[in-house]
Amino acid sequence: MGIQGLVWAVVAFLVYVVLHIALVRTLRPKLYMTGSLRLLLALLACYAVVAWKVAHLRGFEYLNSLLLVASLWVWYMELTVHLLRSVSIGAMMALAQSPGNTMTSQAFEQLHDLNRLFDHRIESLIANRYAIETDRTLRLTPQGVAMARLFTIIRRLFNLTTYG
Amino acid sequence: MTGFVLSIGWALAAAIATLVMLHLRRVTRRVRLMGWLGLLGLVGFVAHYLLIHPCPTQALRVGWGLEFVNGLYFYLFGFIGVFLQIYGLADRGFSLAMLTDLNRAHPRAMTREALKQTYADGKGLTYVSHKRMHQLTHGGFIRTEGNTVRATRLGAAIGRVCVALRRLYVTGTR
Repeated sequence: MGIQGLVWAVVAFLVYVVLHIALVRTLRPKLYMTGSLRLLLALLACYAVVAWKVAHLRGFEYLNSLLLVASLWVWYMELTVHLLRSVSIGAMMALAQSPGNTMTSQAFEQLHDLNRLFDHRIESLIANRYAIETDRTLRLTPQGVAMARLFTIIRRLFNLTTYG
Repeated sequence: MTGFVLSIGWALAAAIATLVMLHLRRVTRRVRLMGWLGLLGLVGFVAHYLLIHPCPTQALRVGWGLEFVNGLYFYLFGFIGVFLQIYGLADRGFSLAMLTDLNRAHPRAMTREALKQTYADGKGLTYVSHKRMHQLTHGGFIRTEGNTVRATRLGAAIGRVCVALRRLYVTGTR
């Protein structure tokens, strides 16, 4: 890995971040992950051409540079998804914004209304076509069944018997 | 290229060792075990790299250093960014727990209310709330004093950084 491949990868990733923030702010996409992934694929396709034709990266350095962009994207997605969806981070944000970083237990619980969060996640599962809702009954789609099976296998691999 | 190949190999070895340990022993502090095995894998990677590629003369040192850092980065990415994140999702994923609960139901259908009550193997939604509060308290991020909840210095600092970062996206509730 040469310094050129590294610099080009970091620049491409920064371009992604700027574009991503601008698009999220303006479009407010309902399918956050899908939209972000599509943007990454579009950027990677452009970067693959730029890295070859403009930066003249070749062989392993070329591949390494593309992998670097993709891996930086994974870290970035993990950060933003935690920022937007984590129950624990949401709790710390709520406390940090309250006077004296303090709240009454009741106010804290109201703010962290898990029923609201639960309904929101259900809407998200439906929007992502993992589940459908008819007559107030939720059903898994084939895609949802596949995902549930995959994570059941992963939970077994980690020998997980409880939920964290 | 050696650094990259070694990093993937050692990240895989550390991940497999973790999975084996989780099956062989009843582990209560899983994250601590993963941390130690991840560190062991990192030491293994560094030692292996230095054995294959001893630090060269001054003229070649930049290339050597870059390849080493590249390998180090991909080791950390493989073990923390991929392996530990998958573990986190499987263990704590809110939506994924709903999917697996629905998948276990017969005939893979439930009302919202029933799903709320059976969430996480029948523990219900309040279980998540209590568990997360316990984890935040145990981790030193919040303190509960009588009828009030207070963020510790660390918790408030993290909260402020997250608020500032979140403002970049202005997404409302998602």
